[in-house]
Amino acid sequence: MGKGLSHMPSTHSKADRHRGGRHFSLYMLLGAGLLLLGMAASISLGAARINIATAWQALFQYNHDFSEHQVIRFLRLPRTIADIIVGASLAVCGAVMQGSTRNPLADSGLMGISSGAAFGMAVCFAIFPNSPYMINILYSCMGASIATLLTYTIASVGARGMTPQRLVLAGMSISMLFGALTTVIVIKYRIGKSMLHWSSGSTASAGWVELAVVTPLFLASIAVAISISRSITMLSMGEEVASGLGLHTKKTRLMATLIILVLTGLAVVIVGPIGFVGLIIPHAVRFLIGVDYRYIIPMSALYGAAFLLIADIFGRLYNRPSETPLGIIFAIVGVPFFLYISRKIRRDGV
Amino acid sequence: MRRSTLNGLWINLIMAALLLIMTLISLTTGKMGLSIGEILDVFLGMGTGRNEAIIYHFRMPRIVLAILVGIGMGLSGAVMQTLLRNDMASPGTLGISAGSGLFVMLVITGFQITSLASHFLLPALAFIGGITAALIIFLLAYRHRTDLSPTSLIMTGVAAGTGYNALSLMITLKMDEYQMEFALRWSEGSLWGDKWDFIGIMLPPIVLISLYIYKQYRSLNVFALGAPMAKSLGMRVRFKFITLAIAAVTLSSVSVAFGGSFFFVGLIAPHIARRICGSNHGIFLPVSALAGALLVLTADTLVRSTFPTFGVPTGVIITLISAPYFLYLLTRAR
Repeated sequence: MGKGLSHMPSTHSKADRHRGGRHFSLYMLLGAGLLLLGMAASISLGAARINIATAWQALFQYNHDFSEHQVIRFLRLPRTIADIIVGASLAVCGAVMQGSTRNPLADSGLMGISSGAAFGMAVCFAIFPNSPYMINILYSCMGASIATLLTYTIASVGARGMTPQRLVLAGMSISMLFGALTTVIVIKYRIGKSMLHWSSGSTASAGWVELAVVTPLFLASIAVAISISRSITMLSMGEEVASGLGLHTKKTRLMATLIILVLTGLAVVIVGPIGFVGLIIPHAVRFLIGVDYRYIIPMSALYGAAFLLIADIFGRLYNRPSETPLGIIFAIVGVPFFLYISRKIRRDGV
Repeated sequence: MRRSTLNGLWINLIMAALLLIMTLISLTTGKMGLSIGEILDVFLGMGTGRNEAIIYHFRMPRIVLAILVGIGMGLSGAVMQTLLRNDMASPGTLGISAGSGLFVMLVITGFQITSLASHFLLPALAFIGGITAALIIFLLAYRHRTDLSPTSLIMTGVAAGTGYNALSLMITLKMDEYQMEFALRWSEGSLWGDKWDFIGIMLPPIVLISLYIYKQYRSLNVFALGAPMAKSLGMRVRFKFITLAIAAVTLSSVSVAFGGSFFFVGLIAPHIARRICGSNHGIFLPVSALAGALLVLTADTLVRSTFPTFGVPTGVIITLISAPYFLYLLTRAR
């Protein structure tokens, strides 16, 4: 990684470059510490409190007779990993989206992608009940693609092109439309139970089988995201600058879109449609480290994972033993943040 | 001028006739089919006891409720669109419905919904929620010495609405099963308050405020020209703006309290009306109200005749019709 940091896009000021490079490893270390702390808390806290030593034993000296060990192995641990995967996916997704579209309000929840993915899940539940996990992912990705395509098309039709506001409004109405369609399917095919179970925004149901399917896809997408992060930085400076620097903008955009769809699809399959993570984390990271996506993307992954983990712990502990869905926590945290950003856009006159 | 008022009268008469026809159709549909003759017999006091019960206890209140909700939302949307001079304003897009909804959820958790006290409490608190939402949204979007940009106002509304909905959902999670079912029905827009005593509470505010708004149609015509123009024509702009805005919020809150969240009616009914009759408010206002009523009643009748066993909420049908239209508006917006 050290090598990659040495040649930065020449358009940045020297001070900026220096600052980003030096603080990056520090912030990454900090994030990793936060993540580890979160993991430890996530494994030991919950409906039943289990101390960390027992958790450690459950991992390395597993004893089938202890119910606590079973809880850790088959409930807490997969859930923790699912939190990490979902958090990282959504945050990276938001970062890639914001960078490649130059739209500060891009977020998979706000833009209707999540509700499209939910719609895909509903269709899948209705047509193929008890289908394997891969099929679920496929359908949710298809739903996500359709919704994205619609939102983008509608937001960019018209004289002034795709402004942040139009993107959000188009995304909102696409969300409502797909939400209504999903309701109709849910009622018609009586899949309310499985949908409700899934759409409440929780990683509680994640098991090892699901993780085994999702993890390779997740790792591959994150790797691709990091590998094109340089191109995304160029794209974020504008189409002309990017092609002036010799970037294949079409190819980069295509890759970015693919990453977005896969990551949203798998996050939605695990956790249900939740928004705002992808909006908040990249902005916070950009505030810390600057505008270079080679730093933003890995840091978003780390901090997104830690953020979701902590939110999930909070959701488990607040109002115990019933759980507060992640979607609610994020909406309550995310709305003021959204308002702040949209005000800032207006002030800066984007 | 005279000719256009005459036209306006005709348009309103035709709309009213359509509404009457729709009411008759709606009376005949349902789990038990009734013929027009049987319905007339009931109205003339010669129907069988069973038919009388079906009509007076089940179908009529529901139809009246649908019409009232439609009138309330249609008018409220029309006023908001004129006051803000923005095509996309409505109780739903501005987040006012969501604010009312939050307070409705509070009433559901705090009180027995079937008791008489809560009948009065429900619209009152829905109104408080709506007003609070309107204030918050206005304050958040307001910037000193600049015109409120329409899209930014709506963006703020959408965001605040999301927040309110999340809070409502949080409250929903603390409910018992009975309250939860009620909350779900409410939030999907399914005309739950179809009993005469609910309608008795709802009718006076809706009628009175509608009349007040109609009386103000000249002011609204002036508002449509823009606030500076209104001021130079000698109108007390701020006072009129505030009273009309409060009237619109009350109207939408009362209809939302008993009808459930009908997100899009307030948006789409004024558009239909503007297409039919232009924007002279003397004609436009009643046509908006009638269009809203027709919309809700038609959707409800559709739901009752096509999905009687599935129970698809009426609000879902309206969303399915209206969301594409909103998108169409968005593509044309400047």
